[in-house]
Amino acid sequence: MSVIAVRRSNLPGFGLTMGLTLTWLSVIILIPLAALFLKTFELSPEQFWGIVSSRRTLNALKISFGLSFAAALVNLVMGTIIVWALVRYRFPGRRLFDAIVDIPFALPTAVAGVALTQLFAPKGWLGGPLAELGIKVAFTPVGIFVAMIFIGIPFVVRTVQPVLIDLDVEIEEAAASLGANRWHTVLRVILPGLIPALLTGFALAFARAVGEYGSVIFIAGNLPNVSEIAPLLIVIRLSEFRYADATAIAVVMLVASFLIIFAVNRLQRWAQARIPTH
Amino acid sequence: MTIEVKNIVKKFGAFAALDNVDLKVGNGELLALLGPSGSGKTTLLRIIAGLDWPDSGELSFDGEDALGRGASERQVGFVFQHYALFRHMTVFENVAFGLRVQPRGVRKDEATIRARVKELLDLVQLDWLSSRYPSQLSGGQRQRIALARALAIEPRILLLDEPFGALDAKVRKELRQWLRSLHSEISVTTIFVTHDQEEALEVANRVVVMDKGRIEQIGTPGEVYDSPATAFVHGFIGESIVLPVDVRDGAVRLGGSALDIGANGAASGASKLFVRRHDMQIGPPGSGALQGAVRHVRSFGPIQRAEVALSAGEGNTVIEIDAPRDRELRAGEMVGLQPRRYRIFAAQK
Amino acid sequence: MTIITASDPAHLSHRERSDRVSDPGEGSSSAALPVGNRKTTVGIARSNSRTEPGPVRFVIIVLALTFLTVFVVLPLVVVFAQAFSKGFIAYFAALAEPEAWSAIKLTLLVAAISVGLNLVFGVLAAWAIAKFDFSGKTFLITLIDLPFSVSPVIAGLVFVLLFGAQGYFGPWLQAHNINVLFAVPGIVLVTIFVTFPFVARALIPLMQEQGTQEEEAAISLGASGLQTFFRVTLPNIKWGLLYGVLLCNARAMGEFGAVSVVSGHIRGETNTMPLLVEILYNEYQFVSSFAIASLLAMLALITLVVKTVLERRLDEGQAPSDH
Repeated sequence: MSVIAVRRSNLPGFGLTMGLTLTWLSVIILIPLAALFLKTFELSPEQFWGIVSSRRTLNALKISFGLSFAAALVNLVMGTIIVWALVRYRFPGRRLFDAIVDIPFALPTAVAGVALTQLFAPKGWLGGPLAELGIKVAFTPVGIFVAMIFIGIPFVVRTVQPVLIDLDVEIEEAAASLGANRWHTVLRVILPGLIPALLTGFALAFARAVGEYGSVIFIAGNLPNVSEIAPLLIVIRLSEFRYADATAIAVVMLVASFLIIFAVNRLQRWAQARIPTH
Repeated sequence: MTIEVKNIVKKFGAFAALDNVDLKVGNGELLALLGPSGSGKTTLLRIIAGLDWPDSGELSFDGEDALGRGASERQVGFVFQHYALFRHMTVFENVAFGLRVQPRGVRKDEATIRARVKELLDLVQLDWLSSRYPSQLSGGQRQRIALARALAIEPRILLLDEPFGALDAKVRKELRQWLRSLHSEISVTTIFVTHDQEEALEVANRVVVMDKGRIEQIGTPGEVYDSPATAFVHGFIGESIVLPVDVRDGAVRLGGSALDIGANGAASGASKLFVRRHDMQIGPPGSGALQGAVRHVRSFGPIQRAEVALSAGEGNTVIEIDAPRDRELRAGEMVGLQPRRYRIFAAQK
Repeated sequence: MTIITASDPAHLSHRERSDRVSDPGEGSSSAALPVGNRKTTVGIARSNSRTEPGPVRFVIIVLALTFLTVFVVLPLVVVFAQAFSKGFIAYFAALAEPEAWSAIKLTLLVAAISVGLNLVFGVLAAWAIAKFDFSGKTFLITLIDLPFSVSPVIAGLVFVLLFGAQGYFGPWLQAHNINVLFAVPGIVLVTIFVTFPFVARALIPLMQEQGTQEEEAAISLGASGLQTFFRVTLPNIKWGLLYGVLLCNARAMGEFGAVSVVSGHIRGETNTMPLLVEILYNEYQFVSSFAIASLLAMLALITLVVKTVLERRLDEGQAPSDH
């Protein structure tokens, strides 16, 4: 790693720990990911394009990215409302609900998948009443959407929550003393301060939903071109031993998630630059 | 233990924290490294402790090279600015740490360690705190525990980084006297870093004044105060009146007019005249080298502090003078001023 | 009559907000008292600057709680309801199946190995990153974070590309009769991959905040590097370390997508608990499937409780430092 130039330090162990870190990082993360790109380079550009632009792949990518985006939008709105309630109001069970927000982080995805399916299946607790209204959730794209909302909630809440807590209360009072009504204060004073965190939370929820597998596949229905997500298509291509196809789809998704990380990093830097030092 | 620092250079990027520093410290000395922040004093202290390494230069203890040895082998007691007490250990365990980590064979038995720690806690007069945790102590107590911890390893040299910096003024004063008497009791070669001139002059036997990575002057408190070697030292230690003057052929000129004082061998060219506030003697108008009008007088204790607007040259130069209260000054009064003692240094760009 | 309005500045500056429970029935006057601005105005309904009108607050709280209940609480309840839908006996019988047992054992084994390795790595990485200055640090942290943004399926795929029959090391492994894919080593490898960042990420900010002064003090008192780590650093980071290990373990035991790709689903051999949940569910053995799922859900709940406790510990640990 040429990027690492050591400054001699007083504490021992830099060479050893850095060496082991880089070795372990290379073995577990870098070499395997490199293998993915290496495999992609075995394809000609035409082959690669052929795979990626085939109808089934394109539809799977559209479903994954489109529904993830929509789910992240829902998370953005509902996450903001949840954060607002948790931070600004006092109500019975507030601490409990605060802890509950983390469940989608902690619950294994397969468990979430079967539970959501059972809940929204035509005979399920929620699926039943919804079916009577003519709304089918499980085994349709709506099911995918629901599962993606589930896994995305904590990202928005946990990104925005600390920022809202730390927000200087004086600016609200200043706004009020300058004659702003509550609506103006929220819209013009508080929300702008939350925008970097909101966008970061949105991007994280989006990235997670795009790559999500376990909690989605049970409820999805998995009909090609209709309710088949990209990660599932990778698994299917692998089971058919069509490694090239699986790899090409994976590379598209990986590049997309790298772009999202990059965007998130920029957002964080932007947010830090905007906040004056306390 | 004597310490010798030779030609030490330490750079952080383009910034020279230490620029060719030479220093000899005698056995049993109590030495202050004094300078503004960024002058390199802490870097020098850390290099002596083995917590940093110079880019070039030599360091020896009693004539033996010390740079080849790491901090843990130098037997140097270091007291950190924020004390760096181990927050998860009691006061007792903090002090005992250096004894417990000694290699097997050298390490003393538990009873000896306990006795030694007790002795040290007695020395710093905090025996009664031995089962407390650092977070339960006051700043002054932490400071003394940090010192006891550093003394536990029977250091050949004791180094203190801004030992009183984080304390309030009253505690600071008490601890200064205490450090002096402690030093005379244990007489270990001791170096401490401070940016507070009063602290350096009051505690140390010798003071090293540093600025911008260089040593400006080394001397006793009396020497650095009374005979500052450079303009920086004069300005940094004690309060001075500084006037821009021009030296030509042995004559000193302020603004347009010549002052009735000798150049004392100062080289010709743009210079600065340094006078201590209390070294400016006040006389009747017309007497002395400078003329001025008293603008404002405040009296407290044995002195009166007068703001005087000078009439010579740049008329709107206002200086502050400390005069004895034998003759009360009044605002509006014209006075003559004569520097009793003064120094002229070439002006630096 | 003038009414004294006691607006206590100390209270205003305090972050703690009024503990008043918003009761929708109470309407505007008292429920809508300004948060943290307790005016003792009697009889005057004041519009206030720091909170929303009662009905708005009510709607926001109801929306938030309904959403969380539907999307988070109900799925969790479903797991246990389904697991016990045929009674306790059926539940425990499902867990006593040899297949269930072998899945539990495999999951524990995989978690133990991968958490153990990532623990060691995480501490090493955090030491190098938090205690030293070097250029490229941010980049290195980004690399360590990478697995968080890689789809679990892709994590599985890359190991198939390396160790599969057509993979880069596949032929060599076959020639030497070493099974990685569709065997325990493969499962361990992908689990290490997906849980890679947890310990390091928990430790780096903590150790950076603690600085190097205590370590320097230990070294200057004659301690060796290892003595310094075990006697000074480790006690200071123990809660953070536990926090990282806890989250790492939860993910290791619950990982599905990545493990699913490399496991081969060999019954009784390479099925972890999440995989068994899937298989049983697809075979319509709902009680058995949800019984295993309930164990994993319990793991998640315990993880959350311990996490909350640890977070409080960590906050306390940082508060009294006087730097």
